[in-house]
Amino acid sequence: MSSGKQLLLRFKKRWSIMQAIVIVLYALGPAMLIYFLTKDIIWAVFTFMGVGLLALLFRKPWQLTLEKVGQYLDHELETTEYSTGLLLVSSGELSSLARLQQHKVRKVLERSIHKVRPNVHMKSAFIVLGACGLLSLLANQYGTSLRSTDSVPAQGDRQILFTPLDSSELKYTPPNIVFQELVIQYPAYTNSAPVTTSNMNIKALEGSKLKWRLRFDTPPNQVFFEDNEAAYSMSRNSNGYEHRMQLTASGFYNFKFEAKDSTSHQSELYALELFEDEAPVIEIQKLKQFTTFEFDDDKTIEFEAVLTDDFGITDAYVVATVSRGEGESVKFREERLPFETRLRQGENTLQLSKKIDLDNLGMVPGDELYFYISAVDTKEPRPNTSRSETYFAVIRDTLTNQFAVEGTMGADLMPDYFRSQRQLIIDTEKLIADKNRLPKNDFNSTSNELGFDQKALRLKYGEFMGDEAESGITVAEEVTVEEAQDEDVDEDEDPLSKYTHDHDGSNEHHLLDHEDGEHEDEDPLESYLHNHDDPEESTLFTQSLKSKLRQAMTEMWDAELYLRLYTPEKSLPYQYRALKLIQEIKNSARIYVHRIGFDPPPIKEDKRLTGELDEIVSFQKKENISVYDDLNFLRKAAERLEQLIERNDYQESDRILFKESGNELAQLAIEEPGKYLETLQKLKWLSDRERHWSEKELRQILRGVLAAIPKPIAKPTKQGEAISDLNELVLQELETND
Amino acid sequence: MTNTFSFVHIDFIWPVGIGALLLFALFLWKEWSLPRKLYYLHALIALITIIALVLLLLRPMILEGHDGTQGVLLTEDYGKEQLDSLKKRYKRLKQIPYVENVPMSGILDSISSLFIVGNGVRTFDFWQLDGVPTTYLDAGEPEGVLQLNYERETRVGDDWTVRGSYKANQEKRKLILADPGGNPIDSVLIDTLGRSDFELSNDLKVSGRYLYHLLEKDSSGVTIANEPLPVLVKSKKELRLLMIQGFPTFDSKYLKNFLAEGGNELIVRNQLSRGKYKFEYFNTERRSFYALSQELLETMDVLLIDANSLANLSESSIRTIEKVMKHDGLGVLVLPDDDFFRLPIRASNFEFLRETTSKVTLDEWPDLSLEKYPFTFENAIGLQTIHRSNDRIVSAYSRMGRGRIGTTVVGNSYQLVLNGNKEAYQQFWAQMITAIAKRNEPILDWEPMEKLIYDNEPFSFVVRTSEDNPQVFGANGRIALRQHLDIKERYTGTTYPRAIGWNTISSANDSLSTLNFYVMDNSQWESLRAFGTRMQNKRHFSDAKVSANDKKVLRQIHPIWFFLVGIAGMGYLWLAPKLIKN
Repeated sequence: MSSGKQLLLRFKKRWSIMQAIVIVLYALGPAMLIYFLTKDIIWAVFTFMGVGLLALLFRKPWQLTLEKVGQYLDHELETTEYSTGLLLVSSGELSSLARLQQHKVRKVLERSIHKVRPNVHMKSAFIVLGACGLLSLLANQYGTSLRSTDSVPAQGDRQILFTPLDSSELKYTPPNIVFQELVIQYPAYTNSAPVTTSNMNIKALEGSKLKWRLRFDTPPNQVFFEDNEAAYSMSRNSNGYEHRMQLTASGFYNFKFEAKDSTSHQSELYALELFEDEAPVIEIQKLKQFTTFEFDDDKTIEFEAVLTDDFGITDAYVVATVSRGEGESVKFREERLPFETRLRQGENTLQLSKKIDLDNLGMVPGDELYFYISAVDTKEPRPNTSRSETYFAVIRDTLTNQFAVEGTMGADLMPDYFRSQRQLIIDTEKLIADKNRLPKNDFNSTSNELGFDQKALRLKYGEFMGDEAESGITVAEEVTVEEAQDEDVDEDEDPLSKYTHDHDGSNEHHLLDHEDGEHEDEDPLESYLHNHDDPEESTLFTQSLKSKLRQAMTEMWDAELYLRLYTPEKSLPYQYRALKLIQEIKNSARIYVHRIGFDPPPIKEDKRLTGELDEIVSFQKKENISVYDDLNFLRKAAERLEQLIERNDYQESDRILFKESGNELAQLAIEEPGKYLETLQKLKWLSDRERHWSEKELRQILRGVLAAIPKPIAKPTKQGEAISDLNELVLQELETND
Repeated sequence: MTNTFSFVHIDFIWPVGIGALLLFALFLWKEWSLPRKLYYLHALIALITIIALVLLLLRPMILEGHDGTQGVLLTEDYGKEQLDSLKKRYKRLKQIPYVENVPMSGILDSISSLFIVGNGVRTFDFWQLDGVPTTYLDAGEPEGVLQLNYERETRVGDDWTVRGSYKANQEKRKLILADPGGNPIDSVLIDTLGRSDFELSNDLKVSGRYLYHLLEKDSSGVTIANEPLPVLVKSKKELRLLMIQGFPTFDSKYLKNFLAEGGNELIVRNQLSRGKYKFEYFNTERRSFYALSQELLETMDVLLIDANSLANLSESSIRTIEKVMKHDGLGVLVLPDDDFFRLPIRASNFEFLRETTSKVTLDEWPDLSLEKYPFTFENAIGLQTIHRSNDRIVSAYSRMGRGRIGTTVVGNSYQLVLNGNKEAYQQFWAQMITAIAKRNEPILDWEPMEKLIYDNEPFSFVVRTSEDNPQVFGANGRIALRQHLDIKERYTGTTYPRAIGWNTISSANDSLSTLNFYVMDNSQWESLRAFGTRMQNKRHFSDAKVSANDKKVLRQIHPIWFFLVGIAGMGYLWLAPKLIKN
């Protein structure tokens, strides 16, 4: 008969075990889920341990004492009358009543302890496990995986499968792969750790070092690594077979081995995909493409640049160019400015800021600054460099005459007088500004003087217009201001008649006539003639300019009028209009000059081909445009395959044909592996293996080959035609009756 | 005489006749002693008896009218209802099953007229029914492809179109054109019941002998039929071209590049100044020339000349060109300018009509608009169209002896290239130049007579050759050729191919010249063949010259009559002396 304490101990043990089971169950579910999601046992083990630990901490199984067990039993079994605690005390220490109770309790426990379940929730643990199990089943079913997927097909992950090249029966069981490994070591500058994988499809950075290791259960005679160009024997060492190469171009490869019985076996084709190191990407923030500063502005440019590169940046700087001067006298100065932020070499993303002070660059008004950011990455041996767009900053020069004729122009046709209208405006404005300070007399005389200048200018234009040229700018009479003012009252009379020569006046009327446009219709031939005899037409300008010039002169007339009337304010708008017109004339003149360069006048018919031909010699040029057909073998293979389908007579020459066509297809397959890889694989087998190919297989290859051949270019050709005597007779008859 | 009366044993006529005469002479001599009256009577009876005996031996036949029996020839796929209704109408209808290529004159003799039900008699059995008044009872159209038309021999890069008509008894039939590998290339959904036309097209990418396929699928995508479309694709032959120009233009520059990049041998001559030229040689050797000599032109396939240069050619050069065209088949392509269209017909060889439009859309490329001169060709006798826009002729050539001279009203065609329609540009000029270029004259020119060729069935072909005694060989040995009575270059031959697949017939003298044809087995193109046979039967028997009343057969007179006459005569001659004695 077990003592009461033993009973309790046993119950506690049972409780502990159940608790352990629950913890394990809790941990098992998530671990299973993780395993199915990642397919990685390590992660699963970690999850198991982690969740188990958590559950352990949460459950605290070590806190389970006999006292607690007793209390629980008291709670569960009313018949114990809350006396389970008595069992823990040795009977010698108890009173007789207590001993009696102890005995009773022990009896009760013996009878009904197995009915009590320890306070452990097995059910919820099973639910968690079941839920996790269901989830992982789903994950497994629908292929969800947390692991990053490459562009290469998943088939490469499988064990390398070799198929025998000879159809003859195999005497020995061929060697099997027991270990396959590929180590991809990115170039040193990338600071990347080597990647070890069993996936034989490779996608790696240009210049990566690749190392394959294969181990067989029974070592074959020789193992080859075959790529597009050649077959390399894999070196043998204690670990198996090894091949190393540096990735320089995309392509395909496969393994091939010669077994002890000298039968050859070949693996599937695997893709070698190369990607290049990208040049850094530069993004400039908070900066306009064009910035213009006034002379008195704070001439600083501030901006931030974000530089990103896939494998790190070594250097970045601002290249600034300052240009000064115009036209032929322009000078450039280039400077390399470092960023303010310290550059951490090798970082993938850099955020840099820069502040350019135009004054520090020694820029004066009129100067322009062009700058861009250049970044260099870590690539070796030749780093990628990239540059941003160019940004501009200009300090506006208020002194330059914006109407100036371009320095690039071939000839400056404009006479100097044209520039004085602006001077007149400046003087008029000055006069208006000084009106209050000047005595009236001075004001009036200055205004009158300006009026005279305006007249002189107008007369000069008259010369260009073909008006009678006067010998010098003589203004015969100077009229007093008072007289003029008197005349001003009379509106009906020409207020200017007294100041002007008659021919000026008549000229004015003449000009106004021109303005209303009716005059244009008078002679329909006018626009087609270049009449030198007519002084009215003998101008330095083309017709379109003339009307503008006349308009300008009318404006000058009015400007002069108001200057003479001592009202320079009223004169100013006319002066501005005249200036605007003159400016337009200049612009059109510029266009005219440019046009001359494009359109040479036609050579007269009778002058053509009559020049000196001594230095003109017949010229001969010979060119062979080789129509290189880069799919020549593929085309031949298509024809041959169709023959093979009809009559299966594989010949030795076909081997070379299919090998060459395979090489051609490989070039296409590099770009679109999904489309051509299967055909390429089969073409390779076709070139290697001599066996009976079924019609279905051959058709499949032909299908792929035909799909790879592009649509031919339309070309003229020679047609065949049988000529008979009868045909000739008919043709002759046709001709005679024609 | 032989037409209305004949003998079965016509070969015995002389010995039997002589024997009879001798017998008659012997009798006359033997009976000489008789009184005159009796003698003549006996002589007459003896003559009758001997004639009866002779006829008994020779078995005479006479032409007889019909006896009113109708026959029905049961050919493949005949309808039961059709036969039943015939049976109802003609009680004594004789049913004759049709077996291809087996003589049936014996059975046919006994009937006065014949009905044919089902697909009909194969063309090679028509002769058997020549004397029989025959009615073909049309069975309508079978289901499937009824008509088919496509180029059996073509060149790489040419448009290849399979046209035909299809009769569907169920909706949503699909026809798919598949390449030799089984890639579907083009397909058409036949949504209407009854007969509808279809058109499938493809670009032939590679040269060789290929078997394309026409797949017939029902609405659920199940393949009902997979029929072969054998096609022989030849590679294109490069041309030798000469381009003469007064000055280079954009159009000529693009044309020059197109021709040179196609691998053609091209010489371009541009005038720089008087007597000075710029020569460009593409894919050919240097050779300078200043006049267009016969030696030079004879080596060329096409002369491309701009209208201005053509107008400025000397009289002798023009004569040389015409001579080479007439005798050697040189093609001349005139690259026109505005003035060319205003030339009189004897200068330009063409007649043009003025019109206002300066844009044209060719039938080949309905969504492309080309620039053109404001002229169009006037249709004239001998004008061969190359490009057409609705009813207007855009490019054309006319023949001059063996050669051709052609031009187009399309101008500034290079804009097609600039607009990204390079393919249309290439097609346009390829068609243009191919049409005009000098033709290749093969030593032997083959032309198959049948389009569907089956094993163990006659296959006829035509050979055109100027050889004296051409000999051709097929898989079964030499094939006899029959020369045409009037056209001595034309020979016909018939062979019975045995092997299914590609077969060749080759010439003994020119091993390169071969006729390639694809032999199918009987299960292929059934509907097409059935429909073809039906149509041929319908045509052949609708204008049959024999009516039922005309039908007469040589029939043997039963020998019993001669025997009875002979016996009676002999009986009398034997009995008469005895009676007279008594």
